[in-house]
Amino acid sequence: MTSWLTRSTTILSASPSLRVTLLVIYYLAIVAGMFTLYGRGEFNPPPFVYQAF
Amino acid sequence: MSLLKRAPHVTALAVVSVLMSLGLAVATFYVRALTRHAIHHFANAQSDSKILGVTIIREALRHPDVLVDFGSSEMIRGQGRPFYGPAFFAKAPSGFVLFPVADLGATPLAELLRVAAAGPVVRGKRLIVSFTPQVFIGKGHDRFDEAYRGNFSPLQATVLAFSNDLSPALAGDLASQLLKHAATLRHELLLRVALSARARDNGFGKAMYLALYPLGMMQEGFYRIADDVLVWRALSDRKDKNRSPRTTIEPPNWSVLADSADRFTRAHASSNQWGIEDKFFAQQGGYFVKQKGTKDSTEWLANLNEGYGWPELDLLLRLLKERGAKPLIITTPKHGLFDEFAGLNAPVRSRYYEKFRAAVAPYGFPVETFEQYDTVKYFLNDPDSHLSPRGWLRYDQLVDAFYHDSLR
Repeated sequence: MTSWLTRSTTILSASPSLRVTLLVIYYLAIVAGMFTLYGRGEFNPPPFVYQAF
Repeated sequence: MSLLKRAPHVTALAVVSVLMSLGLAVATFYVRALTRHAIHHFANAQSDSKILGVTIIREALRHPDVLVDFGSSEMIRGQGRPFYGPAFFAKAPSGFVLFPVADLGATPLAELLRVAAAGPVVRGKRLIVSFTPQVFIGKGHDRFDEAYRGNFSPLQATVLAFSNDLSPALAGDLASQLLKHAATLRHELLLRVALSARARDNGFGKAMYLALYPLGMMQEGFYRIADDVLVWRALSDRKDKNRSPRTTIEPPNWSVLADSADRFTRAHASSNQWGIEDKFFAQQGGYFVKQKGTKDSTEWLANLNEGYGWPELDLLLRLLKERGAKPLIITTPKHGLFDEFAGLNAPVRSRYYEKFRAAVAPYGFPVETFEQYDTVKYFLNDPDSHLSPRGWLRYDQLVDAFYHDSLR
């Protein structure tokens, strides 16, 4: 486990563009997760009582 | 490379922001293109995105074969009945579809917000603005305030508050009117402050408004994204995917249709002396019968003079005039037969029609009050001035003449 982490950290340190690419994917995944969680909400206004006009 | 190394998170966030902006731009373009393609569908469909949004209203006004009708319950209560305007014109028998932008209880200020949402697109466009008389004979202002709250749209109010094409005087008066409804602005801090700034006719107000303008544009942008999501949902729900109405059917033969509408209405309003629809009378008849002689003419005229809707109507007409629209202003008539029973005679009722015409006259717009149908049995469906099938046919004839520029 420790060796895997060390190896990954070394690879990411050696390749900044790979690190940024993974970060981009990570942030996009967060945004996608938020859409999934909150995108199906009920955004319509509540109905109101009709008062004859 | 050094930026990637030194600030990877900032770089990643910048890339994500650009990707999201591009995604939103593509999605917006897609929804707007879908709306353009399916705008005729909305003529006969009610949705929150249609009445509280911006995208659909603006798109409808861009189509020369769409006649937009901003209204209140008179445009809703006829649904499902023969000769109901939007259904009658759904297949464009006369070359256009009637496109109501209306909801129950829409006060003139609520209608004004919908007109304002269209922005300068209304310039040179024919459109209809319709009302029922109740809001102008204003007893019980609280209930009208409540009805306005039910029709209020933060997006439309934001569009109005940050409109730059209006004269300072009109923008200030509109802002003051919106600020009277504090409950609608309770959760809209930016809107509230911007409206207060516009309502102030001084240098501080102008500076404040300019300072808030970028924020206002951002808020409008976010609200419009939400609007487009609702439009996309409404489009996803539609069953009829046809692009535009069929125009191959025969143009209306009004005299034949008049006979048919008259027979239908009589057959469905035979249970009472006022020509009120049987189904409605079965539900409310007990209440109507108790109204005998309950209306006092003096009190009624006082209420008419202080009517809730008059200042708002004037603002709406000013907005239409300033934006160069070509509207037809309509009020459905009073139910004269029932009003006689309740204690209001014809000369008293005629004051309403006179006041309505006088309110519109300074602006030079054509106006229709249907006064000649005030005591015509079967013209209205109920005492609240909602049209019967027979009344709808006359309304259809009127808007048809208006569209074809043949109003007499």
